[in-house]
Amino acid sequence: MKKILGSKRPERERRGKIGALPYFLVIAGAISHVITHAQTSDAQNANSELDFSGVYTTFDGPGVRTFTKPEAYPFTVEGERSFSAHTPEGLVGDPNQYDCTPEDMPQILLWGVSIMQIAHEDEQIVMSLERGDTVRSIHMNGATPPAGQPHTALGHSVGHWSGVVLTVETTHIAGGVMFAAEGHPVSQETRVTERYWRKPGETHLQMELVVDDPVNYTQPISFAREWAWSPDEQVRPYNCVSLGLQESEAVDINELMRRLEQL
Amino acid sequence: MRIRQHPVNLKFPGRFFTLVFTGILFACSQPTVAHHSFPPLLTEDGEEVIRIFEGSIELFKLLNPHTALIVNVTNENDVEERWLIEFSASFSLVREGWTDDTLSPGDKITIAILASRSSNRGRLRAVLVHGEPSQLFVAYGIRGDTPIMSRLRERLPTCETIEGRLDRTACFSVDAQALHALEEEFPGQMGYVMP
Repeated sequence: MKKILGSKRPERERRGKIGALPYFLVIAGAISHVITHAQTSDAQNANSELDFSGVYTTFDGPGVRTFTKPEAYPFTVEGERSFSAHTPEGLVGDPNQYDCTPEDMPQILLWGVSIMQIAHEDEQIVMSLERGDTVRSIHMNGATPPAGQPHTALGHSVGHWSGVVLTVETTHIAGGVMFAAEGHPVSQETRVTERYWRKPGETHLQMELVVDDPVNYTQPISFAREWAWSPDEQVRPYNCVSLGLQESEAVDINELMRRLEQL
Repeated sequence: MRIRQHPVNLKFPGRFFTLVFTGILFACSQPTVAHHSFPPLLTEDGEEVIRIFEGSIELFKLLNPHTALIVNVTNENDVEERWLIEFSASFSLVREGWTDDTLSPGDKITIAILASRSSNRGRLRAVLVHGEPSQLFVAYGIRGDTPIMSRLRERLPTCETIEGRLDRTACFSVDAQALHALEEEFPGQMGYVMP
């Protein structure tokens, strides 16, 4: 009996174990699914918060997006002088306006209509803007500008992450004006600080841009805009063609037509 | 030959309020909506000179930073001359639906321009491309949220090909009946796009 019973107990136990297997598999599968899903969600969140790759525009369906700029500009004496001296007529000889010279910082980020592509690379983030075929390299390796760094149109940009916020510091700009049509000056002493981040669950990119230029402004001035994530857009070649400066002399139309017909 | 200079005087009593309203609009506008400044030809009153021609298109190229339109017109001495008319950058216009074929060589036009100090150069205010139906394209001085745009929107259907979502240009379809009605209501050469 014992033997019989003994022989049946393991059988029952075996059946019990086999019978429990589906429940075990279901539970294990569920746990695995939860863990996997959580890991995937974390990865997606990480990608969306710390990877800004993609094309962004300052416009989308309804039109050009709103842009926040200072209500007033706290000019220094020098800044006021430069601003007052800048008239639309003064733009006649400004090559940036008509001669396809490179776009500059911070103006390149402040135009009303703009298209930008962000790409993450090993030690840098590359911002490509359609206007002027502008390409900015943002150094993410912590390197400071080397000694003798020249002042250039786009300056030298260094970036770092603070949580989910990308901060970019730009120095060594050539200087000029922020808005060509308005003439707000920026000097070579300017430090431009950009901050980019996404609101939770959103794909658009928030930008805050602070211009700290002690030569022209008594305190830093801030701008803010939202870049609309635009996966259907692309940064196209700008193909800039100068039509010549807006001088008072008549345009040589025949020569211009010859040039344009060759394009 | 059709050429006319408009001093663009706002002689109605609401001029002050119009200027104030324009000032408010300007103050509230986004920075650099106008990409580039032009040295405009001004009247003694400081108003921009608007000139109107009839002629034909010789060349149209979508370009950055300014799109180029070269037109052949007849001046006040019945002499044909060519003008360079500029308008918005290609990169904005293509996103409103413009192509290099939107305007074609040989198209008969009536055109209003904001003259520059060059004797043969200006910015596009409006161009009526004659056809069945005609197409009316508007740009500087009209585009955006302006009384003239409201006037046109109330009376004309828009073209299907141009979506003026960036407020660089707008296009309206104008059949013969609508054009006659506009000319009756807003007399004078291109009166329907005049201040």
